[in-house]
Amino acid sequence: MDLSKKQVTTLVKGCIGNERPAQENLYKLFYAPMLRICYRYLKSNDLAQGALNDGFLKVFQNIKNFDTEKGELAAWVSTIMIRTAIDHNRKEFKFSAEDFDDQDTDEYFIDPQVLGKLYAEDLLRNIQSLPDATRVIFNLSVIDGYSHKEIGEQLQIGVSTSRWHLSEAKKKLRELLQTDNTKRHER
Amino acid sequence: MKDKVWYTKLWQDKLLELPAKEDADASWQKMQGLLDKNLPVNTPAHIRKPWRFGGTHLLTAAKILVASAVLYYGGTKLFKATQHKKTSKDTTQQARPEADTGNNIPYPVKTERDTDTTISKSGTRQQPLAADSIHTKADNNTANPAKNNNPGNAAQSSNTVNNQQTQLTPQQNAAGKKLINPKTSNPLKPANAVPANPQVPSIHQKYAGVSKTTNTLQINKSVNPIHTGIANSHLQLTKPNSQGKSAAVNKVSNYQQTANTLNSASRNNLALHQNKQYTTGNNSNNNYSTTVQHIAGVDINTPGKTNSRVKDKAGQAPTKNDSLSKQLLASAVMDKNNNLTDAPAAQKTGQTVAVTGNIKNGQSSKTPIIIKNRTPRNTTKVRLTKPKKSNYFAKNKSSQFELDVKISANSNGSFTAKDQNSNFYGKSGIDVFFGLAGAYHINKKIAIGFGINVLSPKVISGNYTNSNYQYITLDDTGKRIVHNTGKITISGTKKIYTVDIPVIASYAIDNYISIHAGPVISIPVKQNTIKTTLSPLSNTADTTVVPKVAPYVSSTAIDNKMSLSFTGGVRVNINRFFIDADYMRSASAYKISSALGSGKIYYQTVQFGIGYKLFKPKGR
Repeated sequence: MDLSKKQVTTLVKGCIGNERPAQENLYKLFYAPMLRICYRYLKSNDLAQGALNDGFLKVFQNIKNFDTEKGELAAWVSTIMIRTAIDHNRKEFKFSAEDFDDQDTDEYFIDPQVLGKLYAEDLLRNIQSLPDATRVIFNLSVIDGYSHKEIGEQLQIGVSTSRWHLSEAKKKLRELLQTDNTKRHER
Repeated sequence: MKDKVWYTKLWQDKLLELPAKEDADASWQKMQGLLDKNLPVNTPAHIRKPWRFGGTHLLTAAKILVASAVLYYGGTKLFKATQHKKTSKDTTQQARPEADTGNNIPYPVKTERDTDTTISKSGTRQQPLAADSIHTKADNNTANPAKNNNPGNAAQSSNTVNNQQTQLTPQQNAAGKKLINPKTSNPLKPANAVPANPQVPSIHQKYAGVSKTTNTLQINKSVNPIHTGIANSHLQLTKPNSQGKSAAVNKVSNYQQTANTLNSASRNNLALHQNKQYTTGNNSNNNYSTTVQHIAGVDINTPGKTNSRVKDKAGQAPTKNDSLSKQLLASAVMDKNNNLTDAPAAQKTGQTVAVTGNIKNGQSSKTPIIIKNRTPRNTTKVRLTKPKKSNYFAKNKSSQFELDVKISANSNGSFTAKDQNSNFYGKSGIDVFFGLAGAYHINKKIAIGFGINVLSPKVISGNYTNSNYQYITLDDTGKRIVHNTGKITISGTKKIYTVDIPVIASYAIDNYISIHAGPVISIPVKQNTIKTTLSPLSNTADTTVVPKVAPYVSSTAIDNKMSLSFTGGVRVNINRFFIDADYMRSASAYKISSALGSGKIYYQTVQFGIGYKLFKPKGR
């Protein structure tokens, strides 16, 4: 996905002109990474596939607003894809309204060395098993690097709520990974 | 914070290991269906598929251009030739009665055989043109006494020449009549005022050297157009005889009064021969004709004599020009005689060898014949074609027309990004366009014309608003929900290509600068979208409005079938090239619209162009 600026400009111009070949090129170029994003944010692969196409539709409809001078195309497409995935899941969101005092200051809730040894598929399966709101906040915070403030603005929730869900996500994910590890050792 | 970023990256890298299980191609098919539904390709095909730049297209365009230019030039040349031929024909037709008034000799005969007949008749006929006209010019239209009154000499001289040449002279001699045009002869002159000169052969011997020094004349006759021959011979004669090959040159030089006088005579001869050259396109053979005529009718009897002697013979004092031209021509004739009679002497110089070779090959016998045949025609053409030539362009209507080709650029349209350019020749850094223009010059100052500019690029920018766009959606329960967008503004920037037809009136300030102005009819034939935006939108990526409105926004287009503009500018002419600078502004607005609304846009630009006049009126 290391595109030169000229290639990006050409691709964008083609998409602006509603040219199918350009749209196809852009679609296939970003298909895999965007599909992975949708996998993370949504429960199932079918939902992810639907969100992916909706996300690309938004991309094509709004690509004329993309300024090659201001940002990278991949980041811009990722943002749209994340928001689309969130929109697809929005009805399922059940945010906790209780106040939460974040006690979890451990950034490395999973040791990096342990993380390196895990299978990506196992991680994805465990992430997808998280509750919807918790999964979204975990993805936004841990994987996509959003701050709680940004998450709160994005999801229209409070910062403390976002922190609570993140804490819950880490806790549950540790338990899930521990369970997996136990099962693996039992075999 | 850095640790968080690092940890985030770690997670991202880990999840990159996830395989994308879905097939991208199959997924694209679904996506394409979605796009066809939400973003239908409703723009014209020619916008989506611009004519790509390619060597084939460029070559085709070049071929068309070259073929057009060749056709044009060919047509122009043909037209000119037709006009010229017509003019010449008219001239000769006018000349016939005059030429035939002297006697009833049929007008021009083209075959040698016929020519012989003509020449034999010419012995009883008028003085042929060359000698006649030369003497007339040289003598300021006074009759040449020697010419008029020495038929015997003429016969002898002709005999001298023709003994070496052809059977022509015997026929002339046999005629034994005056070789004088009754019209140009001096009626006051006695018929036999000067007796025949029996010393012609000795004169030839006397002037044997002249041929050596005047070989240049012969060479010029055979190589260069005839009209340069006499002038060259004059130059040769006036030069010192550095080679010392001929003492006779000095004798000839004695006849020369002054260089100016001789020049005058030569110029007169030159002018006449130039006229002949123009009207008949004749070759060097004419000079043979000239000299032969002199031999036959005029000067041969007096070569080597002084002017006073000539005066005595003529019975009246000739002008300096007359005598000098006679001497000049006589020496030229002598030169020819010597070439004919004294070939070894002539071969002393390489130039002479060439001439002599021609003569020996028998070409010389043909050459005078043809010229003599043409001589009567020249007699009248000299007088008649001269004004025709000068008035050719004035009478030729086509000379008032001008045809230009031009390459131009619009300040507002030609300087867009290369990707946005799609002219008929493809994409280029500067989106130039080509034009063809014709003009009719009413007079030296004013001209009117029109042209055509092919695919002139224009960038049309503007916006239009919709006070409140409503759309309806269904919620999960199937309930209709009406959405109001509020006031939205759609800004569109389109690049259109038009065929412009300017109708221009121009006024020439001087030979170099002219101003012009007039209306321009623009016909849009192609349009590309540069940018279309919808505002205000706080969140373009995650709004429910955009998907509903975007298709309409993107379908924003220029609707005009035609537009009227006005242009005015300055042209700087540099020979056939010119530089144009024009300001152009649309008088009728371009309409930009979509299903959301429409707006009017006025276009203005400055055009710069450089061109070449394929055809232009003389003097402009």
